[in-house]
Amino acid sequence: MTEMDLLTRLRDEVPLTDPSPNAQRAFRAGVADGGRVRRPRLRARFFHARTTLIAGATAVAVGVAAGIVVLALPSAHQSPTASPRASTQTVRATPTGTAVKIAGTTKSAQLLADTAANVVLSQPAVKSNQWVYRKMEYYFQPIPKLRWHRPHAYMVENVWMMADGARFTTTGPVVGLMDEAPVSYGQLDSLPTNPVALDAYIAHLSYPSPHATTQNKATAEFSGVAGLLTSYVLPPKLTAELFHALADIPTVFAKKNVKDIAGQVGVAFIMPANGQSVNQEIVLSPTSYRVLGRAGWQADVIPMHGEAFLAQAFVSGPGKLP
Amino acid sequence: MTAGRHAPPPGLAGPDFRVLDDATVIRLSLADPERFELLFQRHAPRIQRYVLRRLGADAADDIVAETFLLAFRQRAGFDVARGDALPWLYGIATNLLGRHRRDEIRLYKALARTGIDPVIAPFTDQVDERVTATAASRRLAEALAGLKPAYRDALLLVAWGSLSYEETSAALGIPAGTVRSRISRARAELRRTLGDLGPTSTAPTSPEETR
Repeated sequence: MTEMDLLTRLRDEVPLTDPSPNAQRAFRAGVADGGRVRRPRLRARFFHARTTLIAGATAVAVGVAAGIVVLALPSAHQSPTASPRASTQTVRATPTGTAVKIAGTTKSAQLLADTAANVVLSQPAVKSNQWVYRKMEYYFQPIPKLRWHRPHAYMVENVWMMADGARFTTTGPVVGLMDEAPVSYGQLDSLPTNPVALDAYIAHLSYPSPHATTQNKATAEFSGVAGLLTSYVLPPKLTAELFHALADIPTVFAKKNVKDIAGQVGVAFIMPANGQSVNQEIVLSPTSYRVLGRAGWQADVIPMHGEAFLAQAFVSGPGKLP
Repeated sequence: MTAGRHAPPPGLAGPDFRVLDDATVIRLSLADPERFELLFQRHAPRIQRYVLRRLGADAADDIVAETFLLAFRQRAGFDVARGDALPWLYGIATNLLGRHRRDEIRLYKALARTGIDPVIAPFTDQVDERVTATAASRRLAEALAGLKPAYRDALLLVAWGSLSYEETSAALGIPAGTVRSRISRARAELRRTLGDLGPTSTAPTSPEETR
């Protein structure tokens, strides 16, 4: 009997049983709450790890970069990509393929972050109880062999929510966003303001282990930031910080003339597939820098799923149209 | 990969279990979040046993639930080319276990010191509770307590999670060669600590006798 046999015997002394009722209850409650994990806050000193030097440098960079970002961002080498609306097997310019050819891809993400931050910082803050109307479109890769459950490739729904994400009402299939915000709206003020610390905090929420890999962290950071950007109408300052946090994720680069799943053209933060995740992108409006769309791509060319913000406007209440 | 580990728990053998692989369940759950429950029912028993074995019953419920909630939240990023979600789930659970290293080591040391396994005590009656581990098991626990966390994670994903080296590599996000190297070193350490003890050697029958 080897040491591995001994280990297996030790494991087998614990019976393989159904999950405990407590675990089941906690899981179901969490799913009903959008998958949010209730976790004690980190110590205060983590939140206050603010680097004023970087913030100052960022402010200067915003001014410098604003004028040159359009020229500096890499172009798609092909004509604007076709929306998967035309065909579920549409071949698309590959984010990773383009990335390899671009020198200084990190710089391109920083330029986009600086420009987008500069624009959103000029926008007024929105009260947390402000009603927001959204017209959403969702895309799912069809599953041809699954006859008993064949979701439509595209679904559109009208959504009314408050800026803080509460009181969500909808007319449509109630699909829900691709990413959940990792923290509640009430906890936003306690997020680190430094982009590096912000990335680290978001990664820590998903991967508290010190042994989490770079890929683990990058995936958690990208999804976490996407969840925050899409789940709430955020204060401009935090939105700007999140753009910088995206740009600080290793391997993330920017690209212009990217189409979301609804065919809206914008500039995008793109994270290539990394072994932990498929290719992911967040498409921003090239003028207002609000989020236009979000998507995941399998094997570079096959759209897996995505969402597009076809319209977003402030309204007086649920059911009201702009 | 362990044969039959996707077999449904009793009473849950519906068409979903027969037809859908993990990747499909995850993909469907993007449109219909309730479907993720299927993944919970399918894999929670194994994740629960893994967590229980490493950490005992006190924190197991929380970690099992949190593992699946984190997976639920990150399901949009799951690479469907992987197919099987179990290594992914084991990876998340292992990361979460990282917050409880001291508790885990305390359990191993308790087993090594007293010969009573605090993990299996809840599953035994009062008499059985005093049934002791073999001396080899106690040495094993001592060795586990002394392993580097990274080595222990790799070793236990293989030994207790029944993952292959490749699946362990995917779970931990490290190269397969690194997994092999870590497991090789961990096993060497276990063998060194076990020494000449055979697994049938018995330990004293009560904590008192260990003093």
